[in-house]
Amino acid sequence: MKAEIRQYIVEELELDDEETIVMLLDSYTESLNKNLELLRESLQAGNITEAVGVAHAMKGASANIGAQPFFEVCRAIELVLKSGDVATGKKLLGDLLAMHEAFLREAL
Amino acid sequence: MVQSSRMQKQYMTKQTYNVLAVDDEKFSLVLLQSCLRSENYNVITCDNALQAVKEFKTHDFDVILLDVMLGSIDGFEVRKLIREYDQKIPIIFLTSLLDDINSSLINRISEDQYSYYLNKSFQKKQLIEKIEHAVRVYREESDAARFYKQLNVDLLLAREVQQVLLPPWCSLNEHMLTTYLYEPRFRISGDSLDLVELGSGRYLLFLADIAGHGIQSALYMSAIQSFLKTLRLEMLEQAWLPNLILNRINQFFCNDLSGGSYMTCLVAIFDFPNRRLVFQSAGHPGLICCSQHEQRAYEIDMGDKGGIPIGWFAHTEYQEEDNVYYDLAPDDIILGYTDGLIDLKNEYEETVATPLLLNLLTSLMEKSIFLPLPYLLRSALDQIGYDVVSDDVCIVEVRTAPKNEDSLLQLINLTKGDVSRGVEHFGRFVEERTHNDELATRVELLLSEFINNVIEHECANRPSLRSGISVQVCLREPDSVHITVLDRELKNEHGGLQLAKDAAEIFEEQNQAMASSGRGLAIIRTISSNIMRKHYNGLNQTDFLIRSDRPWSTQG
Repeated sequence: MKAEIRQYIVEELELDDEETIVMLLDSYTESLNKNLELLRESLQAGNITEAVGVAHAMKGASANIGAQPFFEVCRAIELVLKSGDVATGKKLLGDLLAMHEAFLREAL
Repeated sequence: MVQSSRMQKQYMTKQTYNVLAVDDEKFSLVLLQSCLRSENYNVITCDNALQAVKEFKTHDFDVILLDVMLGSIDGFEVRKLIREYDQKIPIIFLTSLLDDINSSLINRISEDQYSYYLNKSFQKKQLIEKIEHAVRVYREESDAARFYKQLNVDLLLAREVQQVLLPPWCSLNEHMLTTYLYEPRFRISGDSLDLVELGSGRYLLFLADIAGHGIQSALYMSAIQSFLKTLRLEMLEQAWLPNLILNRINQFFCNDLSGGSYMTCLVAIFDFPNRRLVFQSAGHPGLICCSQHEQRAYEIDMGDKGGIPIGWFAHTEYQEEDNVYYDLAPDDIILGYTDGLIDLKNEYEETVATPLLLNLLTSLMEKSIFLPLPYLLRSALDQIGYDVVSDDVCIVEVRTAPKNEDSLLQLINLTKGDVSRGVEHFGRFVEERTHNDELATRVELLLSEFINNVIEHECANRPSLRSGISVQVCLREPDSVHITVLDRELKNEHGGLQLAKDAAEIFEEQNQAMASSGRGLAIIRTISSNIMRKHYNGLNQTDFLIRSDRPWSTQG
C-alpha cells in the first residue's frame, strides 16, 4: 500500500522530495498507530461515541494521504458503529489490525 | 476601469495568504503545511477549537481551513464563534461528503454565505484553487465595502456642501416669505434652487432640474449655484429680465461645463412693490398660483411661451417675448417645483397628475396660513400613497410677507443672542397689543424654555446658522394667544404626517433623549393649556395655546 500512497503524494499532492514523502508517511503511520490503539480501547470499554470519532479521524487522515484500503475499512467501522452494530464493528477492527500489521511490514 | 484591471493583475501576481488550519488530527495539519509550504502561504495550525478561536482573535487571517469534527466541539460551533468576530472571513470545511446521504452536512455548510467545502482527499491544485478563490472573493468584497464606505462619507460631505449652497429653508423679509422643501432621492440632488435679492423689493427665484442623478448632477448643481452667486452683482446693477439671465446661464453651461448634460430651468423675478411677477421657463414646469381669496390653485398660463432646456444649444437665445407676466394678489402663494414632485409614485406606479396636484393644493389652502405649502403638499401626497421617490424633489413657495395687526411672524437663528432678542420681540408685541404684562411674560417664558430646552437640543451637536426656526404668535381676542413654532429636524427628514396623540409624552421623550434639565417641560406645561406637535416630512410644527385671565380688546 505504501507504493500507492507514495504515488498519491507525488501525483495528487505534488510533493516529490523524498524528505517530505518520508516525513508524511511517518506522520501518517504514527497517527495510525495511536488511533488504532484508541479505537481498540474504546471498543473494549464500550465507548461507542469515542470509537466513532476515532474511526472518523482515521478515515479523514487516510483520505488525506490516499490510503484507500484504510479509508474504506475505517468508513465501514464508522458507519456500522453509528448504526449500533458493535459486533460488526469489532470484526472490522480485526480486519483493520491485520491490514495495519501488513502495512508496517511493507518497506518504504 | 483602470482600478479594476489593476486589481485583477494584482491577484494574478504573487499574493500572500495567512491561513489558519484547524484539525484535531495532527497528521492532517502536517499534510496541509506540506502542501502550502511556499513563500506565499503563512500557515498557523491548531489541533483544538479553543486554541483556534484564540489564534483567530490575535492574528489576521485570510482564510480558515476547518475540520468538521473536532472531538468534543464540531467545526460549526467554531464557525459560530468566529462569525461573532468576523462575518465574512472565508471558512473552508475539509470533510468527506461520501456519507452525507441526506445532504445535512452540505446544507449546514451552505447556511453561511462565506463557507466552502473541500473533500479530504483533495489534490493540491484543488486546495490552492479553493483557497485563492475564497480569498479573492473576500478581498474583493472587503475592497468594495471600503470603497462604498468612503463613497458614503463623500456623499454625505457633498450633501452638506449642497446645503451650504442653498438658501435657508425659510426666508422672511419685509416683502416676502419663502419656504422650500429639498429632498434628494439619495443623499445628493441634481435640483438647483436659489433666491437672490435684486433691490427695491425685487427678488429672483431660480429653480432648475439637472438631467440625471447622482454625483454628476450634484456637481452641476454646485457649479450653477456658484455661478448664480457671481452673477448677483451684475444682476444688481442692471434690471435684467428672465430671458437675459437664462442666456447668461446657458452660455456658462455650454461653454464652461462641457459634460454634455442639460437642465430644465425656471427664472422668476418677483417685484413686490409693483405686485408683478415675470418669469420664463426653459423646459421646466411652470408656476402654480394658490389664490387664498379665490380658494383655488391653478397653473399660471404660459400660453406657448418658453424655451428649450439650458445646455441643448450654445447659440440658443432666450427671447424677451417668451417672458410671462403675472399680477400678484397680496394673498397669492406662488409655488414652483421640479419634476421629482410629479414623478412621485404610488403602489400602482401612478405619478401625480396635475388635476390631483391642484385639488390637493386647494384643499390645503386653509392650513397654509400657518404652514408652508411645500411641506403640507409633500406630506399629503405621502399620506395618499404617493410615497415612492424616483427623482430628487424640490418644492418652493413664495408669498407676500404676512402683515397682520394681530400676529407676528419671525425667523430665529439658534444662537443664544438671537433667541433672546427674538423672544423679547414677541413679548413686546403681546404687551403692546394686550397691555397685559403677565401674559407677555408667559409668552416670553414659554418660547424661551421651548426654544432653549427642546429645539436647541436637537441642534446641539450641529450648531449651524442655517438651522433657523419660524415662530408665529397670533392674538385671538378676547383671551387667547396661539403660538406656532416650525423647526426642521433632519432625523425626521423622511417621516410622514403623524397625528400628535399625546404631545406631553413626546416632550417627555424629547427631554429625556436630549438630556434636558426637564425644567423646560414643567414650565411649558404650566403656561400652555394645549400643546400639539406634528411632523411634515422633516418639518415639525408645535402649537401652543395660552389663555389669559384678563380678556383684552383692541377696540377700546
